[in-house]
Amino acid sequence: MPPMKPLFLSLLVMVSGTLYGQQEGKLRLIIDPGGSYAFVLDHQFRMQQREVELVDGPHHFTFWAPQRAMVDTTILVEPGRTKDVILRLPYSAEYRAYQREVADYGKMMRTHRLLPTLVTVGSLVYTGIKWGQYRKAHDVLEDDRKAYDEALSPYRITEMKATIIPQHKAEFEKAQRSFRIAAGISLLSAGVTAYLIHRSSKRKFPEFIDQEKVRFDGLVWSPGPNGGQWLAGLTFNLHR
Amino acid sequence: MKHALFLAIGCALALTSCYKDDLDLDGLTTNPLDPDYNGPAVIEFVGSSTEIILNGAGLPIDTVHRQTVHVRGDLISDMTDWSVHMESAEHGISTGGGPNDEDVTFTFRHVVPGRTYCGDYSLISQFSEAKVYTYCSNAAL
Repeated sequence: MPPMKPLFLSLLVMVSGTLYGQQEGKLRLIIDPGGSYAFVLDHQFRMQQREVELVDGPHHFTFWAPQRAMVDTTILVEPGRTKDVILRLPYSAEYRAYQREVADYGKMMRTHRLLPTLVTVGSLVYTGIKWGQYRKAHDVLEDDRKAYDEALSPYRITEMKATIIPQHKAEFEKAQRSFRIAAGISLLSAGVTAYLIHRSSKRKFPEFIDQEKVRFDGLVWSPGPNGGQWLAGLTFNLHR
Repeated sequence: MKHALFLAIGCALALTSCYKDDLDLDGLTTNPLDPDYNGPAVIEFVGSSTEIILNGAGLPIDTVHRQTVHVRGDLISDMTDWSVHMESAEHGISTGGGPNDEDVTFTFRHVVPGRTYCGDYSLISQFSEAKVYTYCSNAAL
């Protein structure tokens, strides 16, 4: 018996040390993103705060934020001390894929809508300029007719018919041809633009489903906004 | 979208067809001062006469043939001055009357009675010649 007494005493000291010797430490969480992260402490408690006071010793944390991947880590809390935990949550693989899809969508919109629209607008402006030249060339011919009717010099009339009017007619034909080509280009680009816009309208904007949130929510049970309840069903087979 | 496209096509076709080159160079012959004028005669032949010119003693010294023309001043603009110009193989070039005289007589001298004499008549405006009208008459006594 006597040898048992010191052993019991040492066990009592150890247990009382375990029960009464634990002190608290504080963790100051500096997490990126700062405003929206949450964490699960020791696989049990879902929390969302910037500082936690815990008993000393190792504690397991699972951090998560929208669009970010979960990060599991164990942090040692030291008694009587405040420890800064600086952590930047990486973007989740789903969110990076979503960003790529958004970039592809934007690129598609630029190539299927913005670029053809700009080409069409440009060709329409060019067509407008050509139409102005075409109209001006026509007005010059009208002026030539008026000048012919009012001409008082036979020499001037001969000169007009021999050189001036043929030159103006050639310029009119050139302006008319240019306008028709420009109008054709405009029509073509308008058609292509309409087709591309119609085709691109079928593609919807990518939707982001945060799978990490689903996984994070599944780590602990927590009641919803309307509370939570347990349900159980009991079935009797009356045919037997 | 389809309606807008059809509207654009319609507008383009309308714009394309709205201006045409309707200035026909061959048909441009309506100005009376045009050398290629193709309308009512601006210079009309009125008549001719032949006369034997006598000297003071009553002896014949020359036989002349006169052609009278009338200019349709109503066809010509009031904005310019013009005169009648006649050219013949026998007598060269001569200008008759004053500025804007509508009735002008030209004389062929030393004519042979019974022979036909022709004159190329034209209007001169701003130092250049309009359409030529040729009139012939017989120097009959």
